[in-house]
Amino acid sequence: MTHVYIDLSRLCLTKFTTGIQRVAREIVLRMLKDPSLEVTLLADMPSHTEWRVLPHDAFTEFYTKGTGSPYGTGKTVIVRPREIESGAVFFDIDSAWNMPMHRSWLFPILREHGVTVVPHLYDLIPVTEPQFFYSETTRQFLVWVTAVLQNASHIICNAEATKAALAKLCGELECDIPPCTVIPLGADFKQGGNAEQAPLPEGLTPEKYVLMVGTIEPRKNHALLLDAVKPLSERGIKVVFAGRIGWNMDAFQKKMAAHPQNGTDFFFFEGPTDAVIRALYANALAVVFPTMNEGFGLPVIEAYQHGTPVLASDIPVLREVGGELADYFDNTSVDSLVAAVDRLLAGDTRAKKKEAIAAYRPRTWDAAAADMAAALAGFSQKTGTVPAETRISQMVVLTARNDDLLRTLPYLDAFLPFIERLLVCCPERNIAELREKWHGRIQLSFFTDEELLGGAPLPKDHTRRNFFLRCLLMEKAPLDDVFIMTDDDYRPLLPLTQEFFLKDGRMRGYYCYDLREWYGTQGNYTSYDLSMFRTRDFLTGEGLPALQYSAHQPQIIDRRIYLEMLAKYPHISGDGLDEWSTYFNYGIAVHPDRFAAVPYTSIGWPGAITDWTLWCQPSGLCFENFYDALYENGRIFADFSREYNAETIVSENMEKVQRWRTELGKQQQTAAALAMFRSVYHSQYHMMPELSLCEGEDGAAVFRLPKLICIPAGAFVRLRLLTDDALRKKGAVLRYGVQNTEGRFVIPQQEIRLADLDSKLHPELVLPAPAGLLNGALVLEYDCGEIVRGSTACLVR
Amino acid sequence: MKQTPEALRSRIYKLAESRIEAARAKMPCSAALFEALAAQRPDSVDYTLLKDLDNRDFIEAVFSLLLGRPLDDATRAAWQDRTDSMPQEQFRTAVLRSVLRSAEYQRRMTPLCRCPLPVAEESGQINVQVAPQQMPDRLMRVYRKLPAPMKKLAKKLAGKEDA
Repeated sequence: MTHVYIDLSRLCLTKFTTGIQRVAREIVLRMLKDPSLEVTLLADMPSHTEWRVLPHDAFTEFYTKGTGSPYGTGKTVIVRPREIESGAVFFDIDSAWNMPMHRSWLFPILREHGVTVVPHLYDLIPVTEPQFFYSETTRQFLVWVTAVLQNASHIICNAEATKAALAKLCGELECDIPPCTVIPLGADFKQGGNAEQAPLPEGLTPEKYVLMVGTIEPRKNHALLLDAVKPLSERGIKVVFAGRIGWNMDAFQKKMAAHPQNGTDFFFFEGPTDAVIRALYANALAVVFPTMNEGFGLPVIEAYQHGTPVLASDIPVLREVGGELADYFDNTSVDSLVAAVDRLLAGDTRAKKKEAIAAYRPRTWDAAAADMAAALAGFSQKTGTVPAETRISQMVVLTARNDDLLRTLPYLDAFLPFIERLLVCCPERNIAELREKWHGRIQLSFFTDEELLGGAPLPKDHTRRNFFLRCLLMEKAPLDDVFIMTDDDYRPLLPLTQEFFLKDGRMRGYYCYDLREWYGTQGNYTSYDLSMFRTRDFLTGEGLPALQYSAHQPQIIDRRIYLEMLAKYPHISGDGLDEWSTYFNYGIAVHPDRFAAVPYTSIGWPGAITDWTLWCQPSGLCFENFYDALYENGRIFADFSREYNAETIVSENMEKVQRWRTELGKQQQTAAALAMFRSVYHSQYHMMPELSLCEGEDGAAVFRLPKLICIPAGAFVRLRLLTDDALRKKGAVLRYGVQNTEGRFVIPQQEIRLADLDSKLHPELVLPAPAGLLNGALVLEYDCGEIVRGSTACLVR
Repeated sequence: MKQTPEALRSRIYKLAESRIEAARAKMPCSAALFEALAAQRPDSVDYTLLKDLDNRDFIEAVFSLLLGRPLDDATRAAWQDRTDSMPQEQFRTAVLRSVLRSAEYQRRMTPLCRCPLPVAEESGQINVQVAPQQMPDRLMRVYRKLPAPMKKLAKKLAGKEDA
């Protein structure tokens, strides 16, 4: 069953359900009853980064009977974008362009998690004819369309004309057009067949006037019909406008009021009742629809439902909706409009039209909703497309360290029973020892570095070498199509099945960070950090997601997809990218039906929990990234065995996991305390407590610091110092530390060479806070020949 | 053709601009303002994305992001002189101070982040020496258990009514 998420934030806020909100209501009410879909309805929360779930019964009750609230009365259930599972569909049927949770932020998150993004496109008029809209609407719509074009997996259009307009737009923008499906809307709105009709307003005679119904706004082109009042009056036909005055129509309103035939041949009924509207429809010669552009043209169908002939603009969408029953005219020509009226008046044309219209049956909302449900189910199945019979039995490791591999092998042997073979890619000289010392269940086979390289020089840099070798491996080594790639020190902690890697037809990629947030070892970047920065730049430059998948645990690889990626980007094998992040981000963007993005599950990553601020919490703890150092005296695993011991392994691993969880919990507490401080500071000073080093008006460096900072006692805290690019000069040094009231450094002074930092990152002040309470001062120095100082109160508690 | 979000937004802006100019109308905002607004997160306002805007666009952006509405004509006129004449940093600081202290903002409280301007400052830093003293832990535990009226009395006796 396909899980569909629908954000109905606008619908829930709209008092009068018309236009798009009416469509959303009609479709969603029916989708809730569709057994092929599991539907989760969402509405924005005040943070605009998460939703509350709308209970189905409350929603249905509110929108069918008008009682209660669509939000329900029970406990609020929260959903965050990153929690929507891979394979689900996010269906945007409401007017999402004016939602605070804007799609240029939301859609990339959904996409990088393998969620199928399906926006409903009603029209592109704010792009093609922006002059007809409020400026804010145009701006929001342009942003929304860009997000749609970049991230939509499929688009549902309401008309062929809309699809054609989209294709034209993509051509003009030189971008790919996402796959589109046309599903016309329903139109069987209740018309209150026997409902009361008011008497025809004074001055009007049946069949002696043409009617235009709807809000008076520039796009609807009332001006054309107003210009036609005189020639029509010469034919004994009057003109009637019924509706409200919309935006930007002050001048037109004056023109109507001043019209010489106002009250004789021209009438404007502002805000008429439903009964008056019914009378006007029933007695009109025709409904005129001179609009410049439309998304769908529901008013044409409404006119048919009243049995009234229609004269409409000759534009593709109205031709599509109005069909043969309507007559068409050039919406820039009064003569063309008058000619259409003449045709209707000639002979028995009108009678024949009315007869044909009487037989008209609009498309039903039931049919439209069923078509949409079927389309959504087809776009993404809950089960992915990796064949169910896929069996994983091969593991592959690149290593030059026999000791590490021999210590890891017993863990693989014991806890990964589905792995039968391990392909070891290593120098020729390592093979004999491995053959001699390993006698376990898993069968070893070998592929030498020499075979792999075939004479090509081996890059010196660690990460460049790794990526280069893995790319060669995919091309040359005897690999299964689907296998598990690992390193020689990734140890499973508990028995796992292949479901851990391949579940519900999707290969699970375990991510640990967002590459765009990766800080690394500040100012002294490792080969690994530099590889992350290069990978970030490559992925974002290609418009691909940029999660960090080097989670330091084994991961599933489909060799065919890896090769496909290398064929698409042949230059990258020498670029020293991160092999995991490049592959999984490519895979999830190009084959979302075959991948699922899942938070990582390893302990020992980071080596020490204070090495960096965690970006996400692990979804379970199933692997250990083995660091000898963590087993040394005073470290977290000091009292545990470093080797596999069948007798004690289960209890030891359980305890290790528990300890790691405690460490993770401490970091969560620190993050919560800092968030609380920021929130309290914001409520008091109305701005966030930011630290910055910037150029003042005179060009000199100046520290801008909050009134105070407050950090939890005993916590390991990182604070970012926003730094102007111009101040990152060669030789410029930043020093910082925390002094007590006697001027002694209680958090020792440290130094950052600003020119050494990645240009996209600001320096981080790393502050290991003392355990006790402290009233002190954070002291900063910027030294670039001249020294600039700044300080602020620093409370540790 | 693959394009970054910024590049595609820039293209679509230019396309809409050409259409709107052909209709003898004006784009609702400059290209720079359009991009600065589009790149924001939904839950906060990142000042660094507004850094390169000129004063006119800056005040439009501040109203749109912090107050959730377009800049009204009366406010635009009230700031007109300063928009053209004040040094950029002073102008921005003044605009932000005025907006952040408004009752309208205090109903929304959208956080302004990564802003290096001295918006919250008027009288310098808090003096470390006069930072509020902490009650000893033991007394604090007793205090927390007091009913509300007793807490109020305790605060009064300690001379910390405003604490």
